[in-house]
Amino acid sequence: MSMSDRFSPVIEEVDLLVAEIKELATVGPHFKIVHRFREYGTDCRPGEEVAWTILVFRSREYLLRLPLSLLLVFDYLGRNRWLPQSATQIVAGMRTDPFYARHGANVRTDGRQTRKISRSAVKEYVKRIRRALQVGFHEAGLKLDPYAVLVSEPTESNEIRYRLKATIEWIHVDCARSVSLPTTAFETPDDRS
Amino acid sequence: MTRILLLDSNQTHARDLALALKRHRCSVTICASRRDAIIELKRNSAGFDVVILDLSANRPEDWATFDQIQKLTWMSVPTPMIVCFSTIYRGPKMNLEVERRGARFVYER
Repeated sequence: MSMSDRFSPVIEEVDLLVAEIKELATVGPHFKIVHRFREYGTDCRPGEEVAWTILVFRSREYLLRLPLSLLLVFDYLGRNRWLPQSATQIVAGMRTDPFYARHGANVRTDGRQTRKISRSAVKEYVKRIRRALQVGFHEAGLKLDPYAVLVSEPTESNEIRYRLKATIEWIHVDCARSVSLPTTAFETPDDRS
Repeated sequence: MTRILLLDSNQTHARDLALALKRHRCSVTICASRRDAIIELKRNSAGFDVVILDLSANRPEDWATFDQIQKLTWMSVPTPMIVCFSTIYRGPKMNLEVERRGARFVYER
């Protein structure tokens, strides 16, 4: 057996890792956002629920531990990931978008399915999303800085704009039973308190 | 050019692997001992894209080195990725054990 044949598994793995490093640096990690309770034949319409956010890495899926308000902010940042937005812009965008104003309206529940997001809360939500990303990256064995994924971009003044550097895929399901979810324990910061 | 730190105590094997990697347009720094690798990583962990580690002997001290390298590289930006290899087949369990720790594993042919 030649030397290159003998070492080819190591060399191929190095190639794969280098490609992975480059991809993560340029486009960021991949997430799936699951919307459920859609109306038949429609996608991303008001009334649907943002049910889960899932990190996909190397053919495995890791559930991010996000409570409702953070799911909504993550979804919004995902939809607007090409343009960095300030806390004020995020709040304005979410308040005027019927998807968030009528979140979860397609199903009757006891609890309120919408959240009022204030400008001052956005900073805290960004911190919490980064913490959840850190946990998800750790579970996935992915060496990635959450600050490089949920990016804070400075402006000429002291205003900070936020941008999600990631690829996102939206999955639509009609009911909870028709989606297969990763086995990661689902725990939210709200559950712990 | 991919910058690689190769920790391999078998000098002949390390030399041959480094040669194969260099032909593949990688720059390789060989460390024959755990101590040398730790010093190199403490000095400049961001200077490497990939760390290659020999787990063929599967000794507890090899796993301890692996863990120490993980800790050292975790906080550096950019973080080097770790590839472990073994020249002896030990089944899929070893592969899973390495992957569980956030690194990659391959068996040499």
